[in-house]
Amino acid sequence: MKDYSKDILQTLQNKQIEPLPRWVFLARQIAIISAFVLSVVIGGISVSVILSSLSEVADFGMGRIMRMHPGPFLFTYLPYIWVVVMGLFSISAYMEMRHTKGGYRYQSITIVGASILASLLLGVAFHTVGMGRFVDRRVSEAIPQYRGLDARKMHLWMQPQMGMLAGRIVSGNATTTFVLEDFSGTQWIVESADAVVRGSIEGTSGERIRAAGTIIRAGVFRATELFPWERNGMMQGGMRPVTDIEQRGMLLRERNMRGMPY
Amino acid sequence: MIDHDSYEEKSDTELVALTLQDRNVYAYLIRRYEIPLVRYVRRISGYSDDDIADILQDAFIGAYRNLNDFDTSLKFSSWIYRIVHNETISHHRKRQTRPQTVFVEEGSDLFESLASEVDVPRDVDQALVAQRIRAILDTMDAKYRDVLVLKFLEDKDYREISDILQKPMGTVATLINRAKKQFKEKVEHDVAISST
Repeated sequence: MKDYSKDILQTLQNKQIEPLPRWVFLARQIAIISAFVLSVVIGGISVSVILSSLSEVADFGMGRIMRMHPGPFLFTYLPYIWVVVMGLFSISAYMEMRHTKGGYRYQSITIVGASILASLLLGVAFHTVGMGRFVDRRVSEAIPQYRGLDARKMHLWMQPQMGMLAGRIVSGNATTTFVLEDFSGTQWIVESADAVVRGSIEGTSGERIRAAGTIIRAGVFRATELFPWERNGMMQGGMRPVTDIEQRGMLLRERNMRGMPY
Repeated sequence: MIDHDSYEEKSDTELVALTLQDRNVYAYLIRRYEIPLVRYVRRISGYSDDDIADILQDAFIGAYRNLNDFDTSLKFSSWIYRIVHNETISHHRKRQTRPQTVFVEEGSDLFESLASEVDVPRDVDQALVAQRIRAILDTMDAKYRDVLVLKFLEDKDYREISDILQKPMGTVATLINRAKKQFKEKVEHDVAISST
């Protein structure tokens, strides 16, 4: 049998080979774990943007207004780019975890599941503090090609034939009739006497609002519900007692939903 | 003056720690593992002695260079088997060939162990010789062959196989079950052909 030890020790001696210092391996492990944590955090940010988008477009039953079931509605307005980002960073987290010292001991499904769960939990926390909205705006500013939440929301609310209209109040009274200029510059007369006001609307000129209702003739939109453009406005006004106008509007909408005449 | 007996009695982990202080102590670790590792490389690759010597030389030098990365929660044997296993695969890649022949020593208890595990009829083992076992192993997928060699020839437990192949223990168990099933099917096929 060949004496391997003699040859190997001789090679170590001749080539001056020494063990790599411990800090090299420690630094490598720290780098891998940091990359794993970063992947999970980016996954969490993606989830928070997805939640912000969905909560923004799905507020106050947009699916109902558009006469779509909630499932297909959310599916249609899901920000897929962020779903892809989340998927990529979940894969990245998996790869990094597998490269940690004991990472191979865990089943792939366990690692992927744990990283997705961590991203989801982190995403909910980030969404709660408004990070999703913040990131979406920053990305919109930095990348012109990125269609941010505001752009998607405008697209969603620029469908008067589907019962959704949004823009700035030009003149008039928000509780009766007013002129609204939509985001494409078209002016509409909005009849809002029977509309339920969802949230806090000042009714001042220049204020951005959303209206759900129907086109009754060219350039005239009868609103059944009015919303502030910003969701915060709705949250601020969400605790207000229901006014007479709102009560009337709700009754009207209920009659409408049951197919009863006005 | 080195007290050889005292080094022979030391654990692998102690020898690793001592090697980091004195390179010459590494010889004791090499001598402790060279015979089983030569046998292991031969079993999974069927390479010549020269090739095996190259693989072991590279593996032991690599292990020495990474000695500070040795995780003491592992057995040193699992760690060095892992390095040798990976070095063998790397050698396949360099030569751009997969192992063609699995080396099973005459009188190997592989078939006996497998036969009892997979419940092969007793008359079958009489009909099979080491050459046939080798032929069957040669036709098996490398991932199945590796786990069979580690389990039944190297006598490694699931945890050790998991640490050597860097796969979860559940995956190792699944691979062993599938390997045994595939081995049994091939044995039965072999017996059927022999009897016709």
